[in-house]
Amino acid sequence: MFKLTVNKKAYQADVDADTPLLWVVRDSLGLTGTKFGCGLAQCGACTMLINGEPTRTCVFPVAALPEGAEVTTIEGVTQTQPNESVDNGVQQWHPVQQAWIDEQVPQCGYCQSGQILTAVALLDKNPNPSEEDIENAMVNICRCGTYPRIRKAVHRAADLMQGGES
Amino acid sequence: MSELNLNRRQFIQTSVAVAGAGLIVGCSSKNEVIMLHSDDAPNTQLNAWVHIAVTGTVTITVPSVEMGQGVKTSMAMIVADEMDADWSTVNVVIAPWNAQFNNPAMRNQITGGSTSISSFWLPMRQVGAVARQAMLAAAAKVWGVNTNQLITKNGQVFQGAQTLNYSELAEVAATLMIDVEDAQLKQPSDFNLIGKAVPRVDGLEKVTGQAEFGIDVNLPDMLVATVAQAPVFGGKLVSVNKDAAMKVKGVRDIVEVPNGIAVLADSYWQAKKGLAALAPKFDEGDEPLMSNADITKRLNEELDDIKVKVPKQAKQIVELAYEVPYLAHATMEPMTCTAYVQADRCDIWAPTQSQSQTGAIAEDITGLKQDEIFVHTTYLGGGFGRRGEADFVEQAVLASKAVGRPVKVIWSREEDTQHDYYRPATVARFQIGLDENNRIMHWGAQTASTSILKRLIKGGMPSFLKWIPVTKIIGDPVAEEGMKHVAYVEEPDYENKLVPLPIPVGFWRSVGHSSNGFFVESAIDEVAVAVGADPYQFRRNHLKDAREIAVMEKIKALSNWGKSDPGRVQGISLHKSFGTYIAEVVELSVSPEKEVTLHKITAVLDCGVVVNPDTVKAQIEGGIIFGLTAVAEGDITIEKGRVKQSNFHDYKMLKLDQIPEIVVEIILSAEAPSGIGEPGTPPIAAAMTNALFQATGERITSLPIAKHGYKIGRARG
Repeated sequence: MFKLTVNKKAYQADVDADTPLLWVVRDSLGLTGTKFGCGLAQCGACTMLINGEPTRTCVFPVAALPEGAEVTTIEGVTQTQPNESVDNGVQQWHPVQQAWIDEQVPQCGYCQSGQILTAVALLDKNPNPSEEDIENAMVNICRCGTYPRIRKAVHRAADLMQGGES
Repeated sequence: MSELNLNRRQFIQTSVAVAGAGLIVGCSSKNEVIMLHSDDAPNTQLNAWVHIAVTGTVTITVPSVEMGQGVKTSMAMIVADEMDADWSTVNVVIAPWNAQFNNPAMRNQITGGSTSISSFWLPMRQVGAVARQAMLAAAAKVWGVNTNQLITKNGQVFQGAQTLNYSELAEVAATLMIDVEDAQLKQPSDFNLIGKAVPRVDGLEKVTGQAEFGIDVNLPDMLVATVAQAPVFGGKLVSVNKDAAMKVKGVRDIVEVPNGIAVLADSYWQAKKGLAALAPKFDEGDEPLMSNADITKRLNEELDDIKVKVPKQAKQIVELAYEVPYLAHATMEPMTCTAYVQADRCDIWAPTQSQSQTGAIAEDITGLKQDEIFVHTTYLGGGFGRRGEADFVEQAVLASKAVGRPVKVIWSREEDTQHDYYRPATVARFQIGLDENNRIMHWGAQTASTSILKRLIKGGMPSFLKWIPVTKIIGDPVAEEGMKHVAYVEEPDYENKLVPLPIPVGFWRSVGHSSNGFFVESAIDEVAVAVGADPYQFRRNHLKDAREIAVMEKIKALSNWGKSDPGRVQGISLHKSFGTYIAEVVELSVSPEKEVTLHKITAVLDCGVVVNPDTVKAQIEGGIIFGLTAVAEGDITIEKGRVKQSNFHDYKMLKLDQIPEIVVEIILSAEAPSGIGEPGTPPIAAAMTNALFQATGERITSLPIAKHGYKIGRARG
């Protein structure tokens, strides 16, 4: 039985120690926003944040999670703000998600959870990335070829975050 | 129904729908007329193209599937515009399996061939127009006026200052008789959605992780399966260690599937471990074990046998030869499908490009009838032609039937790479004769490849081909596309040889054009160089079609042709496919170490009427990058009858840092809309190699360029 914290919520999973975090989150916890692409840490579709670090979870055994590690998936990027007038609160998009919409990035959309988490981690550490910073960080594969729009969206997200808008 | 027969007077009965009050606009099962379904029609929900609910929601059913190309948005825009719906109230759903949603160009429910907008353009407008007419008639009845006193706008009917919402009219409309002849199509000048960059309806779902793909389907009591298939094409299963597999925690069952075996478990990881323990062994089949060199030799032998004509009057004859490799689709989402076979029904949740193929294979396996089979199409994590096949559907249905539980099959990336239906490896030769004015007087061309259509026909005629009389399939039209019509010459002297080989081949984004665009646009470039002409000007001098000329003249201006900065060179290419005229220019530089820096890519296209300019641009950007990845790295090599590559480490994809700015300009046109998903891909390979020639003097005649030592480095503007 493994204990883990995903999107600030505590879970337990009865899985083998070698089970990759990706499959624990998808099959045991039922959070399917994170995708399986290659199983070989090549494409980044499975990217989650572990303590803020973008991690390719298709090869990351659940047993390797550090004690008390914070795992963030795409579901955790969309924040739910408490709101008394609404039962479940109000969903609030992260500026990166907003920028992805503004630039109309997704096509098939399959890789975008991983792309967005990679961008969230980049902007968290580097609020004003250069072209080169973006190129070094955004290394996930997109088969639809949304790269030019991802590039623009990361810049836009940086602007949104600095301007305090979302 | 490429065209609705409006000459025939059609009075159509409307009625309140069984489930949920409102108005339903549907089509006949023969897809010939638009009608408003009565509530005694079977499966009313299955027939609905538009449902106007009294609650205010307008539900539009899109007959094509959404694999990134944006049709869930653009096709709904067509209906919504014509009916003057309030776009903010529109909910879009993907069609169930039902013949009335057949693609008119394919006579089948399939999304492919870049035909969604072109073939549904008119039918979807007509659906919208009938819905609008029903709203007008209902308002006229309520107000006791004539419909010609009324106007519609943004989900409302107006009579002077009076207004009624469509939702308020839905129930009245459902009691009326409507004359389809009254349902007039809008003038293009009255469009309010068509032609606008409307944001995608699936955008929010796709940035929040909420969009459901095939791999995300989850059902109570469901097992997850993964498969191993014979590495050698045509190989058979020889042995397995079933006991070892069944001992793996979570493994529940083992089911044989065509060419392989599936392990069923409580979760994917357990299934994968179970498959490793099962250690299936396969034989090497009955065919000789071919490798790449054998295949190239075999294809070339076919061309050696052709007696080519060489005109004696020609002043100069340029002889050329090219070769392209097999390519895998490599959709980001590996092949996956969920099925639940029960005694009296079968449900399939599939990221499929063909509801018809999906349903038909379930009919074959289960013996159930179409009205007992329910195809639920999820979002597709990429398609590119791969998901028009039904091999992964077959496995899920077989596995579920065997165990009586829902089963989700998920392929590993390795299975996906090694068991694709590949873009056929193809060789081409040209003999181009020039007269004393350096004009082309003879265009001889030959190609050889394995036929996709013959594979399909051999495997039992797939339903989407059944309407073509077999005797009319001479040769292989998809292998020949882009070779029979060449922009620069009147009548190419072209011959195509179909070579049966054991490697399975299939439809890969832009199909025959993907190879033939490279061949023709390399050839014309080589001829231009041979006569010392500018590659743009030489092409331009030979063009006749006004739309092709307009596209070329525009790209010359937009790309600053011939005026790139020192150290940078350009390559140009023009290739019409799926009805769309498109030219592309690549600007690059090359280091002495053969590292290629891409600076800019420019594309100009004419695709007729544009429904959504932003999704069109996105498709062209994506189509270019898809083709660029192939020209740079794409190479599926065959060694001893099997595919050598297995995952993204050896079947490489370009990444963000390698892709430069891509400028796309659409020429405004009132012509009928043509294809968009594929036309961006064919020109880019030759634009790239033509530019490489300008930079280095080395002419690349076999792809990918990686084979010749070239690597794409970081893009720089």
